[in-house]
Order: sequence, then structure tokens, then C-alpha cells
Amino acid sequence: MAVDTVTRLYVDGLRSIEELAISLRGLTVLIGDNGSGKSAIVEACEILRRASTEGFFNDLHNIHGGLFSLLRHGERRLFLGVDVDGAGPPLVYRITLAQDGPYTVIEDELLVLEPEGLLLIARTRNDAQVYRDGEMMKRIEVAPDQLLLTAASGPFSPHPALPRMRRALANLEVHVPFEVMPSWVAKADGRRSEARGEMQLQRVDRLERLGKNLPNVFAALQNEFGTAHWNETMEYVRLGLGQHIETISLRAGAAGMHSLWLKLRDRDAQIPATSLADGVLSYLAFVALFRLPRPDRSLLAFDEPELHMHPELLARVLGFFEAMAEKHPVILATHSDRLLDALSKPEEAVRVCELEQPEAKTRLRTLDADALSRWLSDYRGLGDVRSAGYLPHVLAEPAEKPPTKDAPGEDGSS
Amino acid sequence: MIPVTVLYEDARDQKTKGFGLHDLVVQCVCDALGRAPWDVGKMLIGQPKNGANKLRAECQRNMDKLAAKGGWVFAVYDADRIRERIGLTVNACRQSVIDRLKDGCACADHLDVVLLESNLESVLHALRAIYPALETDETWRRAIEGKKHDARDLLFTAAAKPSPLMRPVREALLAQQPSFARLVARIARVL
Repeated sequence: MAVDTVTRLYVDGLRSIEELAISLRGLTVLIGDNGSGKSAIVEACEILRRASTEGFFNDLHNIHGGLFSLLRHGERRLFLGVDVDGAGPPLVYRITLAQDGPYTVIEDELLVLEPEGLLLIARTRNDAQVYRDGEMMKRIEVAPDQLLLTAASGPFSPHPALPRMRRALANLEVHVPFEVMPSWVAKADGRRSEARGEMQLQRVDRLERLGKNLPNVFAALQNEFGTAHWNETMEYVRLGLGQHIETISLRAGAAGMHSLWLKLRDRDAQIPATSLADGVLSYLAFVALFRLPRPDRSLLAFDEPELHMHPELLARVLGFFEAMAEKHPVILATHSDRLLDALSKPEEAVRVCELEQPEAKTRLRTLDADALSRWLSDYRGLGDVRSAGYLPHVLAEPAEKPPTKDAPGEDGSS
Repeated sequence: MIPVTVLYEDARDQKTKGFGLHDLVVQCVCDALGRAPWDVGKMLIGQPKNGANKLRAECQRNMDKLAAKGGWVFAVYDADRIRERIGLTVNACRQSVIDRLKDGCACADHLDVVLLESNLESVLHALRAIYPALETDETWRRAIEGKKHDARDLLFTAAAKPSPLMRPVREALLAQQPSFARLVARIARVL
């Protein structure tokens, strides 16, 4: 069954980003200096995911710090948008949020069915309209802090594209490094090591951010997708951690809580998640992310997956992302030269975030495939080229005219 | 203990945990010597190099260091297109290919060039013919048609299991792939 995926992402006015449009096909790897906008792109994905929820406005304030903290210096509007395609005709969704004195308001919101450009919903600051077959069906009342997409995509939605877009946004998945801090650090500082913890057994359909439900994901992998799938999952575990791993199990503790345990071959004792090395536990979480079937994922974004990873294990994890990118777009933001070295097709995947001066605005650069090919005859990979200081030699020339959301350019450079 | 280095022509230039082809070589050497993988693995270093040119350059650059303590180096090339890549005619004899690949390498008497007939895909095809149930059809497809590293690593690593079930699979593979068997035998001899 065809599934919607995000094919293009638009961000204007967020942190260092003035205007950006990026095409998403397969794997996209964002690199660049600290503060060049990589994580802002990842955060934009998360804000768009929240646009599928009723609590969007609250989350914008309580979790993302409100529009004032999100806006690029000097900007008054935050514009976010996606193009979605796969399960039907292409869809275009856009939101503009603006600062109005102390308040944040939804200035524009629209959903368009391509290729005819059929308008489905359109909203200005005070007016929300729903269309059917190109004709305005009705004006509707929506609260000023509620997105029209969520208000109009319920059971009586005027067009199936509305719930379709909402699902596509809900199926955006944004991750940061798994929370695997050593148990002693967590205890000493009164914090919780999420991926190591105990939890009630529950059905899951995805790995939560920080690996919070890792035991439940392994329970699902073991019990819900057949023996062959579980056996292959364990093969992937062993590929990274060694053939001495026999299995992963769940053990019941007090009050119905369960935790993850690792069993080694030829050893009676098992190792609890609380005692596993940071990198081992992170790797198990990557295996869980890769192996838990998520047929409806529209985009996966991961900020700095290299944390805790030995370079050779990181190369293995990158293989997971490349495999997932065959099914849906994947965005990685990274500082790791070793990850770059291991990329199968760096010339296609990598986008270099640069802060264009003097405006200090993010722009994306692509790589010059021919130049890179020449360098790679002598260097191990793009990371090797970069660490030697030669990255500028493999950058493609910037597009003369930045593409816009109205006239998008090729390959997402802006 | 002097490490032995095996450099493989591959499509990647960075060692990855669970480098399946090397794991299989290690286990085959273990089979031949009657030793444990952890014992052999610590003195047998496997390193992929992206393409024949990089493999050759690595030998030219580092043979003096790799063989400084008397260690052996095995350079494993795909045989099918090596002649054109090093500027020889397609009917050039095997020895002239090996001599050319050793050109410019220090300590060439400790460099053993192995030409894998015809290439890594041949080993995969042979493995599939011997034991198709080793992995799922999808993994075979990704490994052979898709040329995906992770799928290839899964297959080779599965074949490298020290279990009694896999030993006959490896023996059959060595019987069907004489160049692969030569590599294993020559490594076993120097360990």
C-alpha cells in the first residue's frame, strides 16, 4: 500500500534560517558548524509533527519556548510547510505564525491538493474557510489557537486529503540521541536514564524519543512479527555487538514492571539494561528503531546519532538509516567525520549548512560530485576530506538565485 | 604475536562492526586450525578498501609498516576486472597480474595477492546455492541485487557461525570456490 512521505520541507524565519526549501529523497545528511542551522531544521520537523495534534499551540509555547524564542532575529513571522506525496495526489500544507504584540497568532494556513492546485482549507487571521471541489463550502469557527487542519480533519472532514495530511504530519518521527546515561550518574544527580528504566508492558507502534519505551519495543519485536523477523533482529544485534550475544529478554520486576536484559552465550547470568555500556544500549535502541515495522512513517529525523558510538558501530548504524531511507526520507544532522566516511553516496546525501554573512542566515550547499570523486580516489571518505580541511574544494557553487517556496529550485539548496 | 592483515577490495572504505566477509574468513581459518574465533580474530585484522585502486595504494603506502615485524599481508582483489584496472590485457597471465599488483610495494615477499574468482558476488551466489535458507529471500535480494552491505554482512556472518550446522556449509563453499579456499589455506599456513 502506498504511503505518504514528506517530499519537501519549507522553513522561513526559524532561528538562523531566513528562508529554506529542501527536497527530501532517501537520505539527507546535514553537516556544518555549530549554530549553522542543522538542529533548527530538525526542530522544524518536530513543530510540524505537533501541527497534527490538538495541543499544537500549547506545545509551541510550553515545549518550543513560544514564537518569540523560535523566531530569527528581526523576523515577525514563522513559516513552515511540507509537500507530501505517496498515498494519493501530492498535497501541500503551509502555516504562518506571527507575533502580534505579546500574542502569537495563526496568520495563514492552507492545504492544497496538487496538481490542479485545488484549495481545501484556507485561513487568514480572522477567517477560516473549508472548500469542496474548488468551491468554498463554509466558513467555520475555529479557536484562534487551533489549527484548521486539526479542526476540520475529524470524522466529518469535507475531503479525505485533510486527514491524510494530518496523518502524514503525525507520522513524522524526530529523534535525538538516546538517553542512556550511566545508572550511577542518573542516581547521583536525581535524573532518570530513560532507555535503562523499567516499564509496564504495553503495545507500541514506534520507538519513543530518547528510547523511553525500549523494553516494550523489544517485547513487540519478539512477539508480534514472527520468528523469522525476531531471528533477523537478533542477527542485527550480533552484527554490531558480537556473536557472543545469545538473546535479549524482558524480565518482570516489582509491580508488573519490566526491564531489558542481555543474555550472553555460554553464560548463565544475564546483564540488566542498567549495567550495559552506553554504546551497547544505544545500539540496541538503533536496532529497535530500524527493525520495528513502521510502514506509515512519513519522515525520520535524527539529530547527532553518533553519540556514544564507536566508529565501526556507527558505520553499522548508518547502514540502518540507509536501509530505512529506501522506504521514506531520513534526515540526519551530524558532526561525525566517521559517519560521513561511511556514507554510500555522499554526493547525493550531504547538505552543508553554512551561515551566510553578514546576515548570519543559514544556506544549504550541495556537493560537487565530480570534485568529490577526484578527492575520494585518495581519501577514505567525505569525513576524511573534511578533517583534512578540504571540504570547500568539494562544494558545488551556490545557486545564483535562491529558490523560494513559490518557485522551488533543485536539490533543496537555498 | 604478530598480526596478519587481510585487505579486501570492497565497496566501503571504513571498517564496520560485523564485517561479514572477514568474519567468514576468520571462522574458516578457525575450522582449518581447530582454534577458537576469539583466539584467531585477535591476530587476524580485516580491513575493507573501496576499490582495487585504493587497495593497491594501501599496499604501496603501508606495506613497510604492516610487515615491519615480519607480519603477513593478504590483499584480496576481485579477479574479474582487475586486468583492465591495472592496465594489462584481458589475457594477461595470473602471475603478471600479481607482479603488477605488487609493484611499488615494500616487503613484497610478505605480501600475498589473492584473486577472488570471479568476485565477491560469486561467493554470495555459491553460498545461496549451498544453503538458501541461511536468510530470508529479502535479505538475499538486498545482498545480491541491491549490493547492500548490511545484508551481505548478515549472510556472511550467518555462515560464519561456529555451530555444527554451519561447518558443512563452509566446507561446501570452500569446495565450490577454490580461490576463496586458497585464501583461507594461505592465511592458516602463516598463523
